[in-house]
Amino acid sequence: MYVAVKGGERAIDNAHRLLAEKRRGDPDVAEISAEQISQQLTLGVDRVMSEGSLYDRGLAALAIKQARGDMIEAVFLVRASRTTLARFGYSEPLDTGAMEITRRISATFKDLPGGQVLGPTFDYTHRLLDRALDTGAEVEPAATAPVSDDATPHVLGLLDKQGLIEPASCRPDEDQSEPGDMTRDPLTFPVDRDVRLQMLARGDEGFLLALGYSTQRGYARNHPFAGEIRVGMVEVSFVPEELGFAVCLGEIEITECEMVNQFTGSKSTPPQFTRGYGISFGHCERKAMSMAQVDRALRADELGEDRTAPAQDEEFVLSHCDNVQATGFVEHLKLPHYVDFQSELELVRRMRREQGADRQEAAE
Amino acid sequence: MAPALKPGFADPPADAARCFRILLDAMSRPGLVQKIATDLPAAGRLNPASVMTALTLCDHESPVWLDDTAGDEAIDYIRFHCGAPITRDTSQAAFAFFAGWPDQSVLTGFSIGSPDYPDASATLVIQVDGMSNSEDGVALAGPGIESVHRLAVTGLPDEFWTWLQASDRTFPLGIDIILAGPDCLAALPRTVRVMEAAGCM
Amino acid sequence: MTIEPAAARDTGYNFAYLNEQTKKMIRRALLKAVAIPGYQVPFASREMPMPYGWGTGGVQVTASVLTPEDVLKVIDQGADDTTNAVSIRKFFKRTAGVATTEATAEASVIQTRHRIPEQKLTSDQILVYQVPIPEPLRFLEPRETETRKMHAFEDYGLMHVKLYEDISQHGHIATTYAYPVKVEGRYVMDPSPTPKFDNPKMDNCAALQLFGAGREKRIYALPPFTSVVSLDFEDHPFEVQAWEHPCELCGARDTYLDEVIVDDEGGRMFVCSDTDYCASRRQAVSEAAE
Repeated sequence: MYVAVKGGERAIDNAHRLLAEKRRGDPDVAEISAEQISQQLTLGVDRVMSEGSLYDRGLAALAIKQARGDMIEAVFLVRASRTTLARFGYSEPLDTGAMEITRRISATFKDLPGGQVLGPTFDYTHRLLDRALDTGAEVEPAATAPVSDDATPHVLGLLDKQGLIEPASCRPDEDQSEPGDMTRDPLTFPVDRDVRLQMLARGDEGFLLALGYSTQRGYARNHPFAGEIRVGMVEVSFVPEELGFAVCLGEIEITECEMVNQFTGSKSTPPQFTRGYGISFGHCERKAMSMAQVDRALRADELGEDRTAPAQDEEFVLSHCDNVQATGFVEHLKLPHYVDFQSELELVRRMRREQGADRQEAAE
Repeated sequence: MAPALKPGFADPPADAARCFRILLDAMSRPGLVQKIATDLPAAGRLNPASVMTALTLCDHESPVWLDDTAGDEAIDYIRFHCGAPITRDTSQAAFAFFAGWPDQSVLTGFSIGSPDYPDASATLVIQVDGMSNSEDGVALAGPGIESVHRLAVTGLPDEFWTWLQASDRTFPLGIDIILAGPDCLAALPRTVRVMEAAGCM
Repeated sequence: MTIEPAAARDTGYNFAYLNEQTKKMIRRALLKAVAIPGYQVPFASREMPMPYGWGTGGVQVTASVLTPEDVLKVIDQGADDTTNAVSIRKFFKRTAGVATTEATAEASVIQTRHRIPEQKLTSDQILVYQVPIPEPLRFLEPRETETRKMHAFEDYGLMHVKLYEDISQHGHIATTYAYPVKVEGRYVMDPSPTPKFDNPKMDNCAALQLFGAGREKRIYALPPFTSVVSLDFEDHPFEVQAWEHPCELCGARDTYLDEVIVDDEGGRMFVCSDTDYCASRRQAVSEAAE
């Protein structure tokens, strides 16, 4: 006789134990440490910090380990941890012009003040699997130039001085209000650029990459030039209420990308270049570039362009760029839906009866 | 020397949860009188029910407006325990506290929300002397009320009920009201309908 | 008594997990939701330690209404023992230390996904729904900017057109769950993906009903004794599902039934989806027999 299934709690506990066992893998192979992940899978850690919206290499590395290398699961772990943290306030704006540069390239000028700094990049490596990498061979130290103490000016600032590009601002000058915060205020459309950038910065790299790519293939085509990509350390400072002046909390590594885009001008504005902006924690170059493309595409309304492509559609892009939200809702289809399904089953049967489909089948 | 600041919740997570349930019950059952825990202090002109409401709902994200009679002690209390910004601009207020029924002209300044966002409206906390669900009370109907709730309030003029009856027309826009007594409270959300006008009491 | 009593909670987290600031924000949204029945209040939904789409909205609402004295029941598909219900109940046992029960009558707060208990709820109870897509117009119009206008102007023509197209195509309305309702003659509301069988239970219900959609960042509510009418047409009145057979375990004829496949040959049986209701009926029969 049928007995209703019981024992969900025990099944869950057992599944969790099995998960732990699978995570560990073959016990004869040395266990990987979060420290090793933090040191040797740095770009993975950077991505988890960026999309997890929390700058903590140790926690991000631990999350990657706990998630068995599933990056979106790791981002989710970091986000869930982030919500439990007390909030002391907002930092001062980062001064990326004062960045201690480890990489800085511009595709728009051959040479420029501060120079091109290639830094640690996959660009120009031949993508040939390096079997020697797994033999424990020593790594030769790299030759590096001394770090310059001079501030490196933004490439787009040089264009700005000549009035060839719109000024760098995410909002009209007259708007002096504090930037929005989508983690504190529910999103209401239309969204200002400040909040849009915040959402894109924590958005899924793959989703933004595909959207950015689509703009290059003619869906909202707006030819981008990589005006500048810079990676390096910047100071974070904070004004504690009781002190009333800024104190430096430490340094973080960030990647910043400023795209230069065409703009033909309008009746009221002479032709000039426009900007797209991307930023990420750590070294996430692909993400920062894609973000800058999507940011520019989303400015269609502001710049009086027709909105014709997915990348220009603010509601579409912002509602679907968060991979923690996306993965939760897609994966929730694993949860039981038998009550709804029963309703549909009953309806389909009824409609088939009404159409005489069942009878017909039976006759065949 | 300024008088010492009165205490807030002794056990914030549990006390706030219990007080919220009182407010939720009140808002869900308009005009039904809810007894409140009496160990909360009055803070200046704020009576215990007002204090309870502020401690439970107000923080740095909800600007608070206080009427002129509130006094420094009430302002300091809300600033310290809730961290709420005090505003003089009625249109910015999420919560407004009144020592008693005010001049009606001040009420027009508070937000009743917009058609897109009717929730972006003020909640008024109006202090009264007492209240009961007695037979001689004003008859109220609407969502949350099975047939009728009768609410008798001391310390409110008849004019209040006429005003409330008139404000019914703006739904879904509107202001929500919490009547705060010394040891009790009742809520009158914008959905409440006054079945018998003042004068029938 | 089947209550599992309150016990010590994990003090590594605040009571019921959320910090007090977050709870205040949600509590303010809840009061506005109650004051505007059926209207979706935007709220700053937080990331929870369970995935979006798995009840984060319901969990945030429950966490914001729970007191240490509450007795909590959690169901999914009508059952207390489905994995996600177990997981959420465990979460609150751990973070709030509250008493829990599987008996509907004993619970003061019930969190649910996809069902309303068969037993009539009382005015001492709060029913919290987990909602995936709170916007009833979303599948007709994907843009929030548009649907918000429709609610503001009380323009529900699109919904009526959709339902009417069903009728012209199929002879009846082909929506079986998440069947739209009108609240107090004003807002069209999504009842969450409950079967339309449960819609009549929402109308004039003695319990407070709260709806939380975490991923979509919306909270809405039905105060007790609120008018909730399923949309229909005069010549095609709303009707609920009915089964030809009673529950094969308890014999109930007035409950929502799950179809259970019992063999490879298409053999199936129908049993109550509300496991507590079914079990208590069977217990009453066996006690009477003794």
